[in-house]
Amino acid sequence: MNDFIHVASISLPMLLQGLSLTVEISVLSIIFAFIGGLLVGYMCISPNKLVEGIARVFIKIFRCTPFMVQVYLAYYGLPSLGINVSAFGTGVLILSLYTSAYAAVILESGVKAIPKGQYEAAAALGMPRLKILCRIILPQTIRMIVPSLTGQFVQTVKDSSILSIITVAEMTMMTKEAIGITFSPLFVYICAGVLYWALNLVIEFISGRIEKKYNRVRI
Amino acid sequence: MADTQTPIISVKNMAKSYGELAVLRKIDIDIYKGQVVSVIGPSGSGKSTFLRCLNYLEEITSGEICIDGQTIRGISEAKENKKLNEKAAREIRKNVGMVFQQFNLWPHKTVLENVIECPMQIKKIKKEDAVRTAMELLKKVGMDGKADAYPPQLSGGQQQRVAIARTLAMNPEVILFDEPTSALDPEFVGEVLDVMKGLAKAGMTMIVVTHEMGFASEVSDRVCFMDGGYVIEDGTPEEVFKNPKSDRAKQFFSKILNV
Ligand SMILES: Nc1ncnc2c1ncn2[C@@H]1O[C@H](COP(=O)(O)OP(=O)(O)OP(=O)(O)O)[C@@H](O)[C@H]1O
Ligand SMILES: [Mg+2]
Repeated sequence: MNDFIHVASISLPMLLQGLSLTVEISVLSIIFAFIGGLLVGYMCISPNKLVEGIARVFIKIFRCTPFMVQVYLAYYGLPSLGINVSAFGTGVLILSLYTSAYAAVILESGVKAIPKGQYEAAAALGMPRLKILCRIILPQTIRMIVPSLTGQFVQTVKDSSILSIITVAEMTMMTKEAIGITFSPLFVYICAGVLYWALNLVIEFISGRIEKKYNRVRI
Repeated sequence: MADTQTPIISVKNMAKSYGELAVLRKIDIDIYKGQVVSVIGPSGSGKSTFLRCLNYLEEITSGEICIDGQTIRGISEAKENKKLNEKAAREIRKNVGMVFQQFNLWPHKTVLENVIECPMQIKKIKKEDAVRTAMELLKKVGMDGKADAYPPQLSGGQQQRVAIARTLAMNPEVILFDEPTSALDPEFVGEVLDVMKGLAKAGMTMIVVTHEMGFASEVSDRVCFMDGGYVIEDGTPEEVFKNPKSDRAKQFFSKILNV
């Protein structure tokens, strides 16, 4: 029993320290990815073929290569391009880009599912395109895609664990360090798993609230 | 008919195709202020396409459409027409409203919000003024009691009346109706037609694609029969229904009027 308290007293503070960085990375990446997803998604539905093409290539690159490879590439690639960012910055950047590719696809498919008449009614009344997208199409799209977007953002939290490979001291890295000190992998991994799970429960809770707020009236 | 007047809409030599498929072959038509024009014809004859070209929901392949001094030109004729058309369409849409078969109300906004959206967003009208006008219009179409309802909570007839109010809120000179009652259960057709009759009486210029021959013959000043991408009959309801010149129109009427 003494042993258990000893392990816990060493590993839990380390895990919580990692958790706070994991939260920070996740929140930043989710925000950036949402903005990035909007932008790339907007490019996908552009009437300009070149703009659309750029967005498609972006999506292909980030969806069709392993995330771990992207992380390493950014970690070693950015400095060789003369761009010096901290491991934390690199991690947030690459996780945001990776997630925004998925968010863009979710957004695009959502927009395509809105009946064309919704756009046409606004256009016929003289609304400019960007305004139609922001005020008529996007609000309806978001309501529809909250569940899939939530799934993607839960994935983002989990993917942030991969940033441990580039020395970002988030929870998975701290887990490994705590194991190195305490030699209790089972206990420490269980704690880490529970903390990840709790974090994602929070995200799902928030998402549930958003859905509830929007779906007062069923569309 | 007031031939001395300049037409509010003037379509010359208009053609429209989707790739190989020629939907409108050659349309020439002038429409004058205050006219109520019913457009009838068999399915696939290009009625909706014609209407959608008028406010540039569809590009035209060749010919031109003049509305209020703005001109939309065929995109096959000059490369820069697309850009110019978009500019002209922005002006045209200020004066030409459209009511759709499927109503197309925005489901995430209340009835009132649907009606005030464009006056506030486009004309920058203050909210209290927009709401006042909107409530008057909703009253006119008998929907003021449902101002705070969401469209999915309404019947089709109610939704279509709101859609008409939404269009009226932009104060258009012309309203295009594309089969406004075709998606409605029969019991709700009358209430929408009544609103349209009211508009016609008040002098609104209307182009109505319809299968309601009763409406076409009672309310409209003019009936156009379309077939195969042409307007092949164009005259008063009396002329077109009683004495159609073409065999196609005779056949069409014998089919639909004798059921
Ligand atoms: N976006 C499109 N792409 C290709 N073909 C189209 C498109 N829209 C319409 N068409 C074709 O154009 C023709 C005319 O269609 P339109 O909708 O104008 O007919 P309509 O007279 O309104 O018929 P209905 O009474 O059934 O509404 C049809 O053959 C239709 O298949
Ligand atoms: Mg049609």
